[in-house]
Amino acid sequence: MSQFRVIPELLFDSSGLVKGRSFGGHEYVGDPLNTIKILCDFGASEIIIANRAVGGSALDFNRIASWVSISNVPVAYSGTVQSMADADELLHSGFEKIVMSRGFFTNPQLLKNISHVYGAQSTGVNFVYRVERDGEVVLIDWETGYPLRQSLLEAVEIAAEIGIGEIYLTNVDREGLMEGLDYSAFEVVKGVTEVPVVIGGGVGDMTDLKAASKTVGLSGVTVGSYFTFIRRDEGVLIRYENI
Amino acid sequence: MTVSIVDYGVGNLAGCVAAFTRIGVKSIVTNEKSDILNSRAIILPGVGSFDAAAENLVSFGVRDVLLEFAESGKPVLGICLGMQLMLDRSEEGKLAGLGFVQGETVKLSSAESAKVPHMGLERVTPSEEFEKTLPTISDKFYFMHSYFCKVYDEGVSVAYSNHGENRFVSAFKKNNVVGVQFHPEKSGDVGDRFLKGFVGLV
Repeated sequence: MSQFRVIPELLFDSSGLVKGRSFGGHEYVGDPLNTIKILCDFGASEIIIANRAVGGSALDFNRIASWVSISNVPVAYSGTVQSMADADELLHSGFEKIVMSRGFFTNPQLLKNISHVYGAQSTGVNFVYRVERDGEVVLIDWETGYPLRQSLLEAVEIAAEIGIGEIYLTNVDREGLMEGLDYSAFEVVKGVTEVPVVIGGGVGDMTDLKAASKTVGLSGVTVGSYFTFIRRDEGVLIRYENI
Repeated sequence: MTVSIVDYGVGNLAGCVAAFTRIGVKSIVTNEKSDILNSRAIILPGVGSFDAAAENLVSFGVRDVLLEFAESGKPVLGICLGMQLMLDRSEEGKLAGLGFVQGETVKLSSAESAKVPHMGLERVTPSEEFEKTLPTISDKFYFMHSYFCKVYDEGVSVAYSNHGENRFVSAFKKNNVVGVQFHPEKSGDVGDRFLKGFVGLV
């Protein structure tokens, strides 16, 4: 069995790295370059950098390329990419992968083209979801908070047709709370998809990571707050821990 | 003399340049014949599909230069798709590879505990003999691939790794030509040590 992947996820905006809860209330937590260096020194085996910009506004390639140049492990870019030229720029500047969320639904052809030219392993999709009271998993547009028309299974089917190399599942209501992971969406897709599945939103301690690593069929987890704060509601302390 | 990272329009060059900078070895990104032929060693990186890359080798004018360089006896390192291009052909496409090593690339099969693409750190286990040549290969490296090399040449497969239950060739060496399925430039300190070891072979 492949080694379980524990992937630090760094969220950025124009100020630097930020962190919030349930996709809101973001606060500044540090400088991307230093943080990536620290994570590499602590032995992280890969990193995701996520762009909080709504609508996929124009990317400052020089700025983000300088961050990724410090990394000696793979770095994925998570955010909306507008064109193949933007994808070329990102994948030539040192990023290994482009992960889209909203862009998957608005411009699936672009992800298909990226997968065709750079290979499936260069693409991923992040399905943001909410669990309703009756236990139903509902996909959410993270920019508006509105539910999406497609079901998770329909979206996974489209991902397979497009040739997406990896599926991320993020529970919007757990994000940043450090109260444990939710497996509802993973339960829906496991056994259906052939590509690696990574879940995120809610890791609060090593117990959460160990439980995730023992989940058959799960490739990894993304970790935000737990690697950013000393404890919930306390100061910033960047770190990395593996299983 | 420098190490040349061959630019044939297929991504991942920035990662290779950064890796050689970290280990203090001068490298250049080039597709110029004279640069390549004057190098102490060359790196053939690669990300993407086999045919697109094989086509680019021709359109960038580097295919014949690579064949000439390999004849010189100086080290050539193919990384990931760069390794796969060193074979004759791929199940993924129709175009010919470089044919340094007899073989073809075949798609990995997906299972519950071994999804495709194969992503993440994996143990690389070298043969006893190759471990003596390049001890820094015996470690965990980062893999990201959907195809693996099925090698027909005897005695050139020098390291293996596992994808679930399936074992595949993660490194081959035929004279001066070395191919690795993993990404040393993205495998942290372990990868840097491997690249240092490779340059040390020169």
